[in-house]
Amino acid sequence: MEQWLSGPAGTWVAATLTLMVFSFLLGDNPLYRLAEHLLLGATVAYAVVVAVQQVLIPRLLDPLARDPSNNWVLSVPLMLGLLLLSKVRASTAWVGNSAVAFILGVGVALAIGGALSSSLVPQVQASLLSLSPEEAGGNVGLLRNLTLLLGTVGSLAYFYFTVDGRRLALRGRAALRNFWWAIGRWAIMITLGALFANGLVSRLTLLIDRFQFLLGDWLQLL
Amino acid sequence: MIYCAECGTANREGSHFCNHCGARLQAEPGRPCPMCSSLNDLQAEACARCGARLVPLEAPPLMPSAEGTPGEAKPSEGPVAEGPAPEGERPRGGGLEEASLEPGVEPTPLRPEASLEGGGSTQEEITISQEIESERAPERHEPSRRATRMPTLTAPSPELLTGIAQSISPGAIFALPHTPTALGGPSSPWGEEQAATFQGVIAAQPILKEEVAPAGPGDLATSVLRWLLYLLIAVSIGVPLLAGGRFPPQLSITSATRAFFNALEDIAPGQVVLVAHDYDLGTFAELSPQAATILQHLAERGARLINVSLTPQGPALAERVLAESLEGYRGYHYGVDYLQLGYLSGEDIAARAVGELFLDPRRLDYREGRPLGEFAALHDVGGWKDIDLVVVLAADPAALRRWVEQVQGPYGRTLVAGVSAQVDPLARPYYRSGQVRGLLSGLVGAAEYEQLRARPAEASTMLGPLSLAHVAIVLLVLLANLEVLLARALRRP
Repeated sequence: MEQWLSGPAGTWVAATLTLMVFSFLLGDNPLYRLAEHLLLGATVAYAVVVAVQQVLIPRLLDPLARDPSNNWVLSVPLMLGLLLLSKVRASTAWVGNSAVAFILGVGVALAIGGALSSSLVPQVQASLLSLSPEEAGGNVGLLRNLTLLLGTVGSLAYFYFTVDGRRLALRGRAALRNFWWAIGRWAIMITLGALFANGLVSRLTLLIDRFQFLLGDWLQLL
Repeated sequence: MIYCAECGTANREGSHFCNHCGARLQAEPGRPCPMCSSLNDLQAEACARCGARLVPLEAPPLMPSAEGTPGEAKPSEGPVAEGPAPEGERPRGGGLEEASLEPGVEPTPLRPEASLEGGGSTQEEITISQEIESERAPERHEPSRRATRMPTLTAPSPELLTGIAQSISPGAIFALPHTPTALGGPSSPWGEEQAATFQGVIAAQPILKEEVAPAGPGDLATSVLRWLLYLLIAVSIGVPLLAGGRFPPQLSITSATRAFFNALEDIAPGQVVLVAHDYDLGTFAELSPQAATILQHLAERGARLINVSLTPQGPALAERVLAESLEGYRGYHYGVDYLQLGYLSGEDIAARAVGELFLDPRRLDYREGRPLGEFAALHDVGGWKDIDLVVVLAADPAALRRWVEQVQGPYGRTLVAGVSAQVDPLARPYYRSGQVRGLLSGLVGAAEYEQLRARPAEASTMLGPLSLAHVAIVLLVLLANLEVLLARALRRP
């Protein structure tokens, strides 16, 4: 089967499915829907097969079956995994709460610890930039640091909702607030524009890859 | 609900600041705008947010009441004028009426009682049926007092609600706060205009979708333009592929790509490099050229390679790259010079635990299913301290963040990353902070790397179509903007 799929027959199947996806240019149609459902189904099925063949069997069931006395500790994750199955029914869902709590507890603890020590603090430190031309590496470096400073402060100010607008207005600081909000809005818009443009580059790369496949592997024109 | 005076957002009872704009919420009475619902000062004549007038320019002429003689009932004599309106039932379009509901504020009787239709003498008077009344939301007004004002209503046509029958649920309309001002209180010119517009909408017959816009010459032109656009993109990609060659011939190498290259140049023969293939089919076209050139460069440096993946599709795709780019390259052989550990489940936990996998006797490799201890590639590798470089090929920002937070930070390992182009703006801060020593971005990054190695390959071939497609899209954007500007200029008198 694997050899059959990696040969010309597999190429024809892949080319047909690619053209079925491209048929969406004509509008929503059954061929596109079929290809879409096949992709989703195959993706889910593949993930299940990988989980069973590369995780459950070689790392849990097989060691437990072969040498249970030395691998008894594996019965703990096995039991927690079985408890998760109780979530299928609402009446028995509480049985799996301990397994969910264990998974969430370990995952959240690792995520928060890593985010604080390896993302938040280093990124705050990285945003403490010098505005001296000598230390910034010339005028270009100074401009870059200044832009980063303005963008960071403006974006933070834009998302700071608990400011009392009326009190600021009474103190004559509404203009200051509006200035930072405008800076933040522009910084966010430029960021979103960059994300969109890079997303376009990614999609074009995928399109080129499909053209290469159709013209080269399928039609043998390249 | 408490409506924000700045933006009109409805906030929960007891809120002190607006959930949307952060402005302090007014506890004191105000004058809501009939257009945008912003709460204004009682003395304000125009809405501070949208500019709508809050008071009429002049008092309209007297009109006969639906209940009898003009001037028979004044707004202040309405049933709800004797007490403050409940906060939860503040009407959206109140205007003067809302002000008249506040305690201690005597409303100015601008005009006597008038019906919603402004005359009503020729209109049929009906009473609200029990069925409709039962649909209304429960209210805290006294039913007996409400009944004195609410039973009469002028009906514009017998087909009331016909036009909205298929678009708005009548239940939603009847659930609106029940305010006598909307039916019997002092109306205003702008309120009457709104009411007339609303009644016109609901009185209209529903129009079926297929009757709205029959296909015409304009649709044909749009369709043709759309297909021309598709054709232009297809030609800009297909022609360079068929023609072959490389465009542009020389790229300017970015500092991030050069830093990546230098990090691999620092690897000495025999050192251990962990390569994470965290991509899937959707980004394989972007990241496989990167993976191929990076793996070959590492092979040239004589590094021992350990390949892992935290995505289910990663191992199979990595196998394809390893087989095409590394097997036999510079005498590299599986098990001796490189190894494939396969898929590791658990995401953050898995990234953290990779360093301990080498000590696990139960662990098997991905390709041959043998215990890891049997492979020479892992000789003397006992944990993170023995990993000299981590190369992450990430399809999404979470994958890169995972390796930075769980490996680079805690264990201080040198980390370089090749990412999809769409991930680049989110990965760039890690490069600027020094946590990621080098960064390759998408297909362009791979092409730059191939040029640095003086070995043009797949990425360099794909760069020509990518460049031409960009040119085509920029031209289309310019032309579309030009067309809009020209059309606007021609319409201007």
